Amino acid sequence: MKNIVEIEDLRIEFHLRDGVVNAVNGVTLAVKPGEVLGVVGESGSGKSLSARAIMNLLPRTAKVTSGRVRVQRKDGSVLDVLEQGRESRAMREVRGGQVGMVFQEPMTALSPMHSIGRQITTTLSLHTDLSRTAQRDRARELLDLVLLPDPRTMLDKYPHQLSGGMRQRAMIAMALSCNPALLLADEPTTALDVTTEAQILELIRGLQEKFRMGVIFITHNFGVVAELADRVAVMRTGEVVEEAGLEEVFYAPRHAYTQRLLSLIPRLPKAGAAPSKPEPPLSQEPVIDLRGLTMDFTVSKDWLGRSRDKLRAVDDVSFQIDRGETFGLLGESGSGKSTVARCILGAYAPTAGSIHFRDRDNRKHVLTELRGERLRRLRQHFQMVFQDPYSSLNPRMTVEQLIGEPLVNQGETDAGLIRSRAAELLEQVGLSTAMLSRYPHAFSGGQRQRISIARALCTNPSFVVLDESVSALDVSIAAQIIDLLRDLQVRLKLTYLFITHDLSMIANFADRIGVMRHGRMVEVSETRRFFSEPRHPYSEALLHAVPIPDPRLARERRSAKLASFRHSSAA
Amino acid sequence: MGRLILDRIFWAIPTLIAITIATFVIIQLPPGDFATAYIAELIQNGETVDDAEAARIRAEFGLDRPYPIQFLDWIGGIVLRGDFGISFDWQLPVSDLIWERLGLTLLISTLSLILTWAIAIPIGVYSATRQYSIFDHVFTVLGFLGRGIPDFLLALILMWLGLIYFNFHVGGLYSPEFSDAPWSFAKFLDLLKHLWVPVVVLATGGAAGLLRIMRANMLEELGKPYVETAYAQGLPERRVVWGYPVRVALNPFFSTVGWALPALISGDVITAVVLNLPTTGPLLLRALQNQDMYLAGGFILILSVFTIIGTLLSDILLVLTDPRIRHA
Repeated sequence: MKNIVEIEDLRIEFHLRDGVVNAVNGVTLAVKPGEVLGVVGESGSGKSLSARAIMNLLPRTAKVTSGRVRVQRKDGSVLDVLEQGRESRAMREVRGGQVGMVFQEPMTALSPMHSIGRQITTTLSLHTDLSRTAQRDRARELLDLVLLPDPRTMLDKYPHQLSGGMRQRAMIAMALSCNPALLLADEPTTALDVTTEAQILELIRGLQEKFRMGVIFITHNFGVVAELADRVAVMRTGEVVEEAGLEEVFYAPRHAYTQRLLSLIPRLPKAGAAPSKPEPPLSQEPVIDLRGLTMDFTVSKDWLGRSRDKLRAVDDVSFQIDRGETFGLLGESGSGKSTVARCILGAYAPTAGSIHFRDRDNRKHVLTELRGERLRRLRQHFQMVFQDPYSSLNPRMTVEQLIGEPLVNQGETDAGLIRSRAAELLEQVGLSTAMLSRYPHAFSGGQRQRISIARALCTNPSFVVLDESVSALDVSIAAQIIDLLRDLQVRLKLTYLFITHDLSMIANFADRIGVMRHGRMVEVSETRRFFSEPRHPYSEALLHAVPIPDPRLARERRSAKLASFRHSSAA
Repeated sequence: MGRLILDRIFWAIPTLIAITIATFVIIQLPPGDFATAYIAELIQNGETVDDAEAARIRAEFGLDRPYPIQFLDWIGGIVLRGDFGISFDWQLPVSDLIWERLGLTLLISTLSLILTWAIAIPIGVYSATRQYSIFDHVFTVLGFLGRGIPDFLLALILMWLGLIYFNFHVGGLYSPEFSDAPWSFAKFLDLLKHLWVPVVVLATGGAAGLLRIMRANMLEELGKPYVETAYAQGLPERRVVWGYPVRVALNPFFSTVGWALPALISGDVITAVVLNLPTTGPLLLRALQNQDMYLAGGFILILSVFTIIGTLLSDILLVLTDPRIRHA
């Protein structure tokens, strides 16, 4: 066998109460030594299941109905994975020894109870006969290899003491500890910030080249694939619809689904392409006017309850949002963008600064001075749509109750009125009124987000905060939701504050962009101008970190970066 | 870590002071005092008690003094001389009454706690790793039965079985011939013969509830990505389950060890009464009924101290077992 892994006509079923689901439907894939196979697909396409079949680690409820998975072992012999018992010795030797795996969630994929060093030496103890000290030395070497600072002390750290990016590096060190011939990476950068994502991708590429490893890289993001893969397999509903070389898939996609996915990718405006418009003068009557907003959180208190250590989450932030505008607030995790939103919504009382709000009748309210009942009454004018459509809807309430709840909170008691309002809203967000009496579990992620939007619109607000509202959705669904939001904005004269860490989402939606970092607003700029002439070095760094869904451009950018690196190190 | 523990010990002191005051207030709350009850009893027995006599009785018990003085006297005795006062009802020092029973109470309770964990944890882990298997269903049914049957009923059933089929002397902790005898090996064996009934009764009830909690905790942990990571490292199932999710799932147990200590002393009164156990529960019940304030107060105080010690123990255990708390 010249491939290190071969999947042949794999079929996996789930037997559920209401029928059989064909999760994987005749998948055939292979990876040669040293080759990177990008597997792209939306949620439910069967891409993760196919990868888990290689490890023989399918969920216990899954049934393999046909097909075969073969892995080349270290001694050159070939193992028929699905013929082996899940707990067999041969399988355990493959896992961690021949095939390493990196998962999506660096927060939860490492054991919270064991130190980083311990987790690596455990793997080593299973697959090598190194002595204890040799294991520890090797673990230190590995941490050094994934470029973690100060590997010696890192060994004794626990996952909760590390940032997301550092954990993902530790995870990679663990997966590579026994020199696997194949690395399975399941959305390893999806949960990370763009700049961290770029670093991790670079690391994986570097290690892959260094050790001539085969990699199966599973992702929903075409941009990531363009940065990394040699070959691409596009999956949909359990099938591989197209498999070809990287450039072929990007520049000459054959299957309609691939073409559609590629067309949906939000593309960043090219640098310098747009003529820079002069910045429009600030409106005299902004809907939201933030001046010098500062928010401190108490980290620890002394014995009298006075705060001892303070964390400045938001530091002297000022900006305005005009009526009918979409203001994109961009920042990585911990930048303070959500804290700004919570201050506006009155969930936090800011330490300093003022927030002014104009309602539909152009009456001005000073939000920072309102308390109690008056703040509560004003809340009908501003609403929020959250990130996760799965946890932001109470599973025990019907759609009607969910959408009508804001009205009930405002003191409305007429059940008929609430019902008719809920029905009206449901139609506005493109769902059928027949769904009023159903519960959230009956809906897909995209539908749930529509319900969340309907709920936010219930009290007829003029200002809506969209907190990463499309980040958890598949690209095709996200595009639909953004279209809906745009449409509603025009029809209902809404003003949006769109919070996100994802540059590509904001590019085609926001009118202006504010970039936050470490609690400060580093740049506020009109969107096209932001992409063509970023003024702050951090904005520039963000723009450079976004994976480009274009293999040639991505390669150019890489070699340019390498050249500049060589240049600077030579100088 | 040492700092954390010292910190907790430091905070225990004001808590203790607050508790002693609260305890004193609580035992003064019911209308009347021990003298009222005592005089009523005298009148019932046909004696005449006039006001002067009543005042004399009250003075004799020291109940005529202002509350703060009574409190300081009471707490001063405990702190300085280990003197918890005299039980009005028993006419014996409170400390003798309590300590005599405390040892046995701790013995029974500790044994039943160990048995509870020994039953609940393995079954809970098994049920979770083999969810919806036949044995999971069996243990679920048994668990609900154990939870549903009151402990005292189970005690009665065991006593009845013991008497009918094994001809055991049940009830109490010793056979009549040993109850007042000095300690000997024979008495110890006799104790063991009696001990298993309360231990089993107390453990099954507790285990039934705990096993459901353990199963639920484990099911939540087993679904987490780090478990999959452990499998992907090549670990065998047994090591994955016991080395990773079980450690996390045990946290709620460690944090409730603290409650077990006071529950050991005050809890299970009914079972103890039914089984005629010389433990502290029935004594506390009677002290409260009779407004025997020094005895009741002494009890509540010791319970509170045990609660604080237990909580401290929980904190220390959590610090030792969970790095997320140790390196917070």
